Amino acid sequence: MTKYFKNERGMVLLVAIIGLVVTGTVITGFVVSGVMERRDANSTRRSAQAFAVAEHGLSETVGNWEPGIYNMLAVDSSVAVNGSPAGGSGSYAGTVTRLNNELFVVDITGQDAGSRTQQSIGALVRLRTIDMDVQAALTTQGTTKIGGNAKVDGTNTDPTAWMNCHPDTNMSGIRLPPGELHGQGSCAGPSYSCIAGSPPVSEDATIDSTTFFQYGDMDWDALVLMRNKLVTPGTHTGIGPDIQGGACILATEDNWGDPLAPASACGGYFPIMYVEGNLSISGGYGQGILLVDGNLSVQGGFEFFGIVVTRGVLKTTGTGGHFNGAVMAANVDLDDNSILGDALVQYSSCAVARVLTNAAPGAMLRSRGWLYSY
Amino acid sequence: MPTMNRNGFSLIELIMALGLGAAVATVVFQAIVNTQRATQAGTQQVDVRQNLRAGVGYLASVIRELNAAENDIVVATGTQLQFRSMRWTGILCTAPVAASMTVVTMPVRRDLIYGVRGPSAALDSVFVFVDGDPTTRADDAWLAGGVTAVAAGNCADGSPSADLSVEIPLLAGGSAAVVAGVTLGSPLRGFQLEELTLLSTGGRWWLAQRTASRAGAWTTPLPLVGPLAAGGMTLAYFDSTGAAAGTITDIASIAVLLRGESRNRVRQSVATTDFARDSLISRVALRNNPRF
Repeated sequence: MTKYFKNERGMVLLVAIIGLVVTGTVITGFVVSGVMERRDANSTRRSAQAFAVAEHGLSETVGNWEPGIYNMLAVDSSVAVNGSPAGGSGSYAGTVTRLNNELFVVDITGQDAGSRTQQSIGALVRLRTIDMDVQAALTTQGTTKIGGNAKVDGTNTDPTAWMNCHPDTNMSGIRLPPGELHGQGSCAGPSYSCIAGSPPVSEDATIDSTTFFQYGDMDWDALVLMRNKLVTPGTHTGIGPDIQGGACILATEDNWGDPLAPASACGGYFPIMYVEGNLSISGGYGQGILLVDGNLSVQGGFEFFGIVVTRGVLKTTGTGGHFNGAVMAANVDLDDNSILGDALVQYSSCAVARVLTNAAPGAMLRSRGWLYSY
Repeated sequence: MPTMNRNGFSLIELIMALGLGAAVATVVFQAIVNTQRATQAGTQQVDVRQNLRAGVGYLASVIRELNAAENDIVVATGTQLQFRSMRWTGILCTAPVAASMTVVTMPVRRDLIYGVRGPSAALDSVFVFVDGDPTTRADDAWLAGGVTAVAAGNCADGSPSADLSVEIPLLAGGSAAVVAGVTLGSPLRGFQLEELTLLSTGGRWWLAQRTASRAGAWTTPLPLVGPLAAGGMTLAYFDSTGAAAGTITDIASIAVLLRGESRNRVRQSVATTDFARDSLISRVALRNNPRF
């Protein structure tokens, strides 16, 4: 009996071992194929996630174009961008590189949440230049009084110290509907000696609201949406650049760039300022595009380089203001514009072109702007 | 001696032991065979899915870069897609110089070339971005030409460049159009014709790829992904509204359906074996169609 039991235990062991081997092989086989499937599926998921994050980064960079940063880049220089979509699905990093005056390349690499997979895509971006119908130093729509020592000059004049300005033709001094100009004192008609340009006065019956509020494919509302600065209505004194530690502080409400020192930290800053109401400025200086949804009153020798569009009227008094570029006063309420005191409205093709270029948002090329950037 | 006789096996015992052993061995063998078949089937299924993912991934990557509205797609059928495949994007780093009425030298910055490879004189045609009036996007355009030579050189700032000799047809304005309208920093996009199609070879179906040289000589189609099920690729074309595209230039997105099958047959029941099959579908929007 003892020997019989010994033999039976031997068979049990053999059967058990074989059973374990078979079971182990079955389990191993399924585990191996399962792991392979899981790895491949995960790899595909991570790759798709990284691609989606990269596209998010690209859309965010181009869609939320920052003229104050990207448009200030010198040609061939870059600035880093990075971010991550909500939900922790990964992160992106990349660069915006300026290629020439109008073109940029955005190169974005997206990573999945575990930073194990990367996808690199890019976009060729072109500045959407704002197409303003500037045909005179001063364009108005209603009664315009000019007198005192004021001067309106359509002769193209480059701002002092500004480099790389190109020769351009002269414009009219004032462009307005017929019969709306009222010269006073030494500036009385018909000679209007305080107005210069080619011609000094251009009476244009076609002037209407589109002249002031339609800018190519863009309108007033679109331009307002592009603002870099929301300026509080009321009186502002001492507008000027704010440079701290060598950096231009863009958040400062009254920092409107530095037209007097183009090479300074704020020299390349051309903001779009929007005022939802009346604005009174006394002294200081700035550059860019000033949009006033009300009346604009200037005194104290304020100097501005760029384009001013006001829905209401323009009034200058005392030492007035110096506008280098172009001013468009729509005076929608048909109040009187009054250009009095020592005001100067001087046409400058260079100032107009530069602010329009530097304030412009970026957009992907109309075609073939999307690319893989690996 | 009597003791020895008692310790031996009788014939019946031997037959019973052999029978029992054979039965156990048969069961074990069957289990191992079934296990192997199941593992093989699982592996084949995984391979099929890997193939499908790779195929759809490749199709998606080339489709994204297309601009159907400006003739990047040459042939579009349910089983064939012939198109201009983007190979690289470069940036002009020195002003273009006319070498003849139709040929212009265009140096591109070597450290800013994106894509799967660099420029090739034998293979590439090229699009050159023409800005025209910098104040408007409306006149922006791409001039098409051919890369006739690639030489090493230097950009205006001294960095290494690939100096492309690009032939622009006179009908498109020749070299004068480039010299007048292409500014420093303009992008160039190199491309060559590529075709993705269903190919039947060796009794199996494949997603096959062939490419053309700039002169128009096509390579032999080579299997890229597969094996696929018979007729295992279906392409459907949609316009920007989501309706079926009426013409090639209306295509705004492409739906891709791949049906793959395993390399080897796997047992599916006691009596039958067949290929493991699976399918994958994806819809890809063309990113480079004109926009405003």
